[in-house]
Amino acid sequence: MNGRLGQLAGTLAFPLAGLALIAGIILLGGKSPALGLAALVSGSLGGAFALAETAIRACPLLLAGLGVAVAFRAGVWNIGAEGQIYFGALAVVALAPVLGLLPAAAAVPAAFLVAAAAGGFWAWVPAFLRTRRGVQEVISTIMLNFIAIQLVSWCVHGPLKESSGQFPYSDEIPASLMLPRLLPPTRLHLGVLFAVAAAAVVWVFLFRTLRGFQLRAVGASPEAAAHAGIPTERSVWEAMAVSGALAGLAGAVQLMGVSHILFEKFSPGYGYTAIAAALLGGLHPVGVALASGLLGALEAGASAMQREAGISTVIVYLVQGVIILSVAHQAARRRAATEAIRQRGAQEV
Amino acid sequence: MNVAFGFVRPDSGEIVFDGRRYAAMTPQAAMAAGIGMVHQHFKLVEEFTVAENVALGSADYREALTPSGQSRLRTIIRDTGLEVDPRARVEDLPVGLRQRVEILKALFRGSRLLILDEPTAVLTPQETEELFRVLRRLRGQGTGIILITHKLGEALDISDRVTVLRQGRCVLSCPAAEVQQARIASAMVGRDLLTAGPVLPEPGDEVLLEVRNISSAGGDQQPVLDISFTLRAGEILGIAGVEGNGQTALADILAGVTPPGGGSLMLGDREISPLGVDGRLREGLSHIPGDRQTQALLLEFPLWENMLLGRWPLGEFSRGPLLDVGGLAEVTREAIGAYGIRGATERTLAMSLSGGNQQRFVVARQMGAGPRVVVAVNPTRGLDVGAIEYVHARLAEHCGRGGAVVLISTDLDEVLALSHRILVLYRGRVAAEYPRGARREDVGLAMATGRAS
Repeated sequence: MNGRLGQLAGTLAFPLAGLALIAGIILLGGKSPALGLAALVSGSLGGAFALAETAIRACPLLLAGLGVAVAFRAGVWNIGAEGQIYFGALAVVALAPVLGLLPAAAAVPAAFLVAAAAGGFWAWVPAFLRTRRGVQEVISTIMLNFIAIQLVSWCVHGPLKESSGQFPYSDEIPASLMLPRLLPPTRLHLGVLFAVAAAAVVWVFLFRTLRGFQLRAVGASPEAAAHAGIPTERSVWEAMAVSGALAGLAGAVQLMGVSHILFEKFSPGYGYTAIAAALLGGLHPVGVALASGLLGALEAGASAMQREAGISTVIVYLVQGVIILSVAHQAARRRAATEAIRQRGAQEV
Repeated sequence: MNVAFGFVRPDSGEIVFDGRRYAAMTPQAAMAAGIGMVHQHFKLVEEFTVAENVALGSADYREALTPSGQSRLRTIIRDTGLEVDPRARVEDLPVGLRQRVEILKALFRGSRLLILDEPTAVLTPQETEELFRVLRRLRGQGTGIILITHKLGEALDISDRVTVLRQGRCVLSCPAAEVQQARIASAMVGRDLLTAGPVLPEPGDEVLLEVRNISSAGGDQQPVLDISFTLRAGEILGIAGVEGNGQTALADILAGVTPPGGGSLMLGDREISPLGVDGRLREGLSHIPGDRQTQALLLEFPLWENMLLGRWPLGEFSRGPLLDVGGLAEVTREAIGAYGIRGATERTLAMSLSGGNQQRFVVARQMGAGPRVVVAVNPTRGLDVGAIEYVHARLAEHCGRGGAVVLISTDLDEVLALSHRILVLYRGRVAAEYPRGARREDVGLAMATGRAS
């Protein structure tokens, strides 16, 4: 009970400490913290528009963050969500002429499948390199991010350039692929509900299926898993595939729900912020959803802060950085505590 | 002992050492005061020489490596009989000599009180004798020694005074000359023990497991070479040997953790060597791994999930794609009740159980799978007498029902007490075989030399 309360207090402390930090930095920059914070809060939580903006920014973070959580639970350090997001979106845009021929009810699920497969494929590469060649996925996934980003850049300057051939972005996707708006005139789209449903599915997978359990077992102790006959390599493949598929879906949802076109810098680092969301959420689907909401609110509020108080959005990224560091610190402390218990157990006579 | 050496702060009370009072010790203060600790798991830098390791543990390592420091080290070696070459690299030394390096480290620092944690767990009977000779000599020279052990014979053999701890309390403390083994044993458990260990039923004729010429496929541990044996229904086959003579490789091959490099494994009339741990469990071979903390349990997970860890291959807990959480919880509760794991529920985390209860849980889980053959590796390592008795009784019971056990254990007393037949493992090969009732000295000698006497 104490632990639960402590955890809750810790979780609440993050946004509060974050706000205090933002106020301090604004003050240092010689602007009014009150004005800035007011814009930050009203831009993220004040009214239907603001809440919708928060939700649509949280949406790709949640999907990709769930993917990161699945991978990390399995002990697979997939830092490649960014590249997998690009790959998911790229696949949908590339196949848009074909997908557009389908009726709307079939087009959207088909596009989701395509994006999941593409993201999964981009995660398959590092899984292959790790299991067959012993290449650390931390390195390979980061490298593959750059390749995916440059590939998209080349595509929108070349084969996928819009029809008039003037601008470096893709044609708008067919209307049948655009996700319906739930609450016009806000930009809230169907993808947000999809992401929440995905969180529920991931929870069931991780905590109520044998495959999900095996994946967590491999992540918690590869040695114990091996002694229980759990195929550890297969868990790596599975975790990577699921992780990449979710990130690919994040790209598709962003494309089909918000931007409707593909362009360079299509993702402002969603794949990296998703890692923060996953860690901040304790690698638990519910936690990832809450953390994505918080980070989405910060991003939505940051835009408003820049618009209304003339304060740079960089401040918010700085705060995100601090959050990530403190989460990493907490995780390290938890690991140390567990290790201490293990040692005490070993010394017990 | 963690309190005495300052790893853990006492909640109350004080430590008096050499006339000084300490409310709380720190490892630094303990070392400065002259308390030396020899851990069960050695803390040596394997790439360094003996002298360098001793220097690392000393207050002034530069001084320790000067000619005068080195001659002081040689003097200590000569005076105590801790014979070891200071220039030898630790990685080239056998376990018994590494332990000497640990003791030298403590003495070189000027320790006048030595705390030894289960020092004989990794030694052959002969090495144990040598260690005890050294300890008697140190006692004669005025060094105090605290020996932590769960082997009663040893405790009485070498100690002047014996103290028994049970659940954190001191339940007995008296001169060693005044007590009998049985009295100490019952003090450790809190009740009278069965005197002579479990009664073993006579084995039947049916061969349950036939191992033919198995060898390791490679790997970084001591491999096994060309091992063959048969195991009949109702039989416990003990595999004795000093740690590091191929036990891990043999256990992994028998259990299906690693595939054998050659040879065959027949369970009944079925060839099981292509099967993994999961397939073998389905065929009726269950495995109690040697290290419960890292191999048998997921410490951060609740017990019901740990039940699933060992039993998932049987498929009894699946409902379509979903897990039968209710069924798992029930089976876990039953195991907790049947094996007397006090204070636990299915939601208890594995790491919050004591070592003894962790092992009871693992044994309950693996026996509950309804196996015909059990491969048990050091099933009672680090347990108290009560838990040992319990685990032994379960294994004997299993044989009474027509099952069979391969008991791979570095504890010679355990192998002697529990086996119908004993194989001695030496450098990866079966060096000797003994029937039940073999003399302890003979088996011990075979463990140390690899030759049957």
